[in-house]
Order: sequence, then structure tokens, then C-alpha cells
Amino acid sequence: MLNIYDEERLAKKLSVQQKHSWCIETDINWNQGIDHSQFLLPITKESKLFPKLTTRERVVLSQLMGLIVSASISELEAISLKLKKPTWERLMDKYPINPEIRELGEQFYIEEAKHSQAFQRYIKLFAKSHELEYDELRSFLPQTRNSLIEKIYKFNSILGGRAMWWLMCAAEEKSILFFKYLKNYQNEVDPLFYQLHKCHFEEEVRHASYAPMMLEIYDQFSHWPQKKIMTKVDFILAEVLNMSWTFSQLIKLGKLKKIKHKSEFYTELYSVVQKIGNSSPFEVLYELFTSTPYVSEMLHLSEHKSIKILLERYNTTNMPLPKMNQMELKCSV
Amino acid sequence: MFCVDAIDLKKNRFFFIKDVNPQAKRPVAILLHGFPDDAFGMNDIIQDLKTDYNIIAPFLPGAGVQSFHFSFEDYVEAISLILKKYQMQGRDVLLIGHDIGCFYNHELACSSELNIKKVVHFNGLGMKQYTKRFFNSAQFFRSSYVLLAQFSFIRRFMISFLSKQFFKVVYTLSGVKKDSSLHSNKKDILEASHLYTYLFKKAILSLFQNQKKNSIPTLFLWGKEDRFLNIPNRFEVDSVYHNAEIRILDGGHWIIDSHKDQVIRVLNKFISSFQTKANYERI
Repeated sequence: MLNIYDEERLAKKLSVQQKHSWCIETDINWNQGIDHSQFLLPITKESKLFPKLTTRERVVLSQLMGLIVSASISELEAISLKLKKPTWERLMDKYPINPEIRELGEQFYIEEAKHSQAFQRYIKLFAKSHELEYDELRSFLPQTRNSLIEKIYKFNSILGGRAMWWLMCAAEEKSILFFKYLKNYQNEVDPLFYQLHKCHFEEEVRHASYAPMMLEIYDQFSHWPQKKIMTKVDFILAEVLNMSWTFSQLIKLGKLKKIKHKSEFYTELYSVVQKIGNSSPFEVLYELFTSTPYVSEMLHLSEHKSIKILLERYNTTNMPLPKMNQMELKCSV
Repeated sequence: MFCVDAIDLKKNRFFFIKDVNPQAKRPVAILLHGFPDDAFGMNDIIQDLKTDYNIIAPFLPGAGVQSFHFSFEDYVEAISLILKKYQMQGRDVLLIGHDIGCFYNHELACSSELNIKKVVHFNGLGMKQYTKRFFNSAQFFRSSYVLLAQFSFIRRFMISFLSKQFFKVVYTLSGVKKDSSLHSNKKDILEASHLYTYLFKKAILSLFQNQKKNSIPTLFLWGKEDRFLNIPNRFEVDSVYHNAEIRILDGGHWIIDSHKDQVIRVLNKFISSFQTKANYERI
């Protein structure tokens, strides 16, 4: 982790980030369009939730996962921007460690806004290329705007909590991990989707240390009893909110029933999602936690190595959850 | 080796360290130490700046050779006289202060007609900013020793019988290194403790005075573990200054001792505009 007081290294880091920053218009070839026949994300070979899928069904499921992941990243980055004032500006005003950290933060939010915009644009393009209505497609993809969860994060930060930064830390790690999955299947996934995630990955790696630095500031500057309480509460709060949000977004897939006749994509998607109905609710829940690609990772905030290190460093408590299974991800049957 | 000089002011002698070459058209750096310390405590900063600046480092009232109990107004007058003596009127001035030295420097920046270009406060602040903390419980607790210092018998007792313990406690709480030359300070510098009675009165008066926002670029360099003064926040600083930068280091109240290298690096970055001026000669 970067030393928050080392103004020289922070300045260097900022200059690297600014120098290598990509442009949403020129660095991504939006004109190449979307290849309907391609996977968006590699998925598991076998899943109890989705048994015996045909090749086309696997493609459709992969596209749904890709859209969910893209929408989740876009929404999370948008929510972090929306909560910039209570979660970041207040902290920077209260503990103005040095101008470099502030500038790095401004750069972090510029990049987050760009990522959110880029993923949103991809979803729009996907809707257009499949001749779907954008709002209809978005209706069953993850959304956070004006949700109770957003208000809870805001309230937590006003009380001096850092739940939002724990979520950001985990989300940054996950999005880096998702590109690592994607990287092995460059030729088998939609080229535009790959390019977008590659650009996203590059900037995420460059600014991945920012959220841990914010946790460090909270740790070094907040006082007892606030520090003691928040250390125990914050990560669990982030986990609970993240889980409830993920489940509430997955439930939205039920909306597919109403629109299944509107396009071939929805019909295929509905038939794939219907296969979940064959499992019991407990089975579904267990599979979502343990062996559903991307969803399981989203539910397990504490699974990643660097998050585990941070949890140990700050002596933070996390929820006991069923362990994730190792998943072999593929782009073929 | 330093040259200690003095000027006459109101039938008193005002002592200061000087490293001055009036012929060289260099800006002037005025450095004022804190408590318990004397002007020699600014040694590292003086060494760093002396090739680019004419150095004036006064002693606080009661510290070392300085027996003259000067007020804020006397300080402003003394600095003008020193600049006149060495024909340096109109030169650009850099003010650097530590701890209570910052109170004097802030008054100098606000009320003098000197050409002050930049101000640096090491774990110290101006009076107006300090009075804004009057109702802050954490600051009240940290400043409670000021109330004890109002009683002359407590000060006398401390200087006469507990000077060693006092130094040890203050320097340990301030993050001063064990091998620091500060530990060899003599008990006579503790005479400056009477300053707290003057500053206390000034602080009370300051509560009822309106002061304009200061527009001289100011740098606050602060040790995170300061046990005597709260870390300044953006809201507080912006209410007193138009253009201030805050930097927090991983040290205590005496970062000029414990974090010399980083302090000098940051200081040089902040004052770099002085060095780039073509009309100054570098010796």
C-alpha cells in the first residue's frame, strides 16, 4: 500500500495515471459494433442452476452475465460519484493530508465517471444492435439510483463510517479479476466488450490503491469510540447491503416473463432463466453463493486476497458465508 | 556557527541570529522558533535556506539571550528596524514559524507593510485561527497546560525544580528523537513560558476582533501526532486564509526535528517561486 504521507510517490502516481488515461471516444472503437454470436463472459462448464444448456443458450446466458457485470460496474461507479461529497470530500476537508491525495481522488472520480459512462454506452449499443428498447433492457439489469441502499451508505459515511470504501475496494478487485477471466478468451468473446474491459482494467489497476488509502486515512485519523464501532460494523454493513442489492437485482429477472415475446433475445433469455425454476429456493441460494460465476464473486466481498489482507490489517469483522467453489470458466460447451 | 546580533528597541536589546549579506539581492527569510526552544532550533532550516536567503532568526521573549518581553507590535517594529539596518527594505520576505512563533509571524504577516510573499507554519497557527478553536473540547483539553502557565508560581516551580522532567515530557510527546540536540537545551529557555500569559490575553481579545482573511500564500506543515494542537482542517483554514495549503506528516509536534528531510523537501517545493526569480543572486 502507498504511504499516504509520501507526497513524492503520490505525485508520481498521479502523473502516471494522467499520462496513461484513455479517452472514451478515441481509444475504444465503438464503430465495430457487437457480435451477437459471441460470448461476453466465459461461464462454467456445468452448473446445477443451468443444467444441459445448448450452445446458443450458453451464449445467451453469457451475454446476460456480461450485461449484469457491466451494469453493476456502471451503477457502482455512478453511486460512488453520487456519494463523493459525504464519503470523500468531507474526509479530505477534515483531514487534508496533502494536495496530492486530493488530486489523486479527483482523478479517481474522473476515471470512475468515464467507466460508468463507457459501460452504459455498451449496454445502449447492445440494446440497439439487438433491436431492444434500452429502458426495457435496463429494467431487469442492476440499478441503484435513489435506492435505500444509497441512503444507508450516505448515512454511514456521515456517522464517520467507511462502508462505501470497503465496497469500492472489493469492487475494484472484482473488476480486475473479471478481466483476468476474460483475457484467456480474447478471441471467443465480443471484441468490443473485450476492448472495453481491457481499458477499464488498465485504469482500475492504476487506481486500485486509492480505496485502500482511504481506509488507511479512516484508520489513522478517526478516534475512539467511532473507530472501534465502525471497524466492527463497516465491512459487515457493506456485505449485507451488497448481498441485498445483488439479490434484489437478480429478482428483477422475473420481469422477463412480461417481455419475452418482444424479441428473440428475450425469448431465449427467458427459457434459460426458467431452468432455474426447476431448483428449490435453498438450492438456488446455495448455488448463487458457491458456484455461480460472477454472482458468487459479487456476493463474497471478503474472498479476494487483498481484501483479506486489509481485513486483517484493520482487525475488521466479516460475515461467515459458505465458501466459493473453484470454477472452471469456458466459452464453449 | 551563527552570528547573534541585536538592535535597540524601546531601551531594550532585541536579539536575533543573522546570516545576512546585504549586497546580495536575496530575499529575506525570518524564522521564529517555538517553545521550549530557541533560535538555534531552526538550524536545519537555516542551513538549507542560507544560500538563497538572508536569514533573520529572532529569539522569543525569555528564550536564551532574549530578556526583552516584546509584544506583537514590538516584533513588527523590530523586524522593520532589522531590515532597515541591513538595507533590505522592500525585499521579498518569507516567514517561517514553529509552534508559538507562528502567532508572532501571523501578526507580522497581517499588520506589517513588509513585502511578505509566503508564510510557513510548522505545527502552529495564527491567533484568529486559534480562537476559532476555543469551543472545541479536544483542543481545550490539549491546551489545558496554558491555564496552568498563567500562574507565575507554577512557572517558577517548574523552571526551578522540574525543568528536566518538563523537557522530557514535552519532547517525548512531540515525537523528538532521542539523539536530538533539543535534549541538550538549558533550563533558561523555559523563561519563555511567561509568554503564555501574554498570548492568553491576546487570544481573549482576539475573540472580539474582526480580522480580514489573509491572502498571503501560507503552508501549514503539521505532524499528525501533535498532542498540543489539533490538526487544522480545510473549513477552519479557509475561514482565515484565501490561499493556504495543508500538509500532514507522520510525525508529532516537532516535525522539524523528527522529519527534517521531508520538511525541507516540502518547504523547498512550496517556496520554489523565490528561487526562480531572476533578480536574485545566488551566492
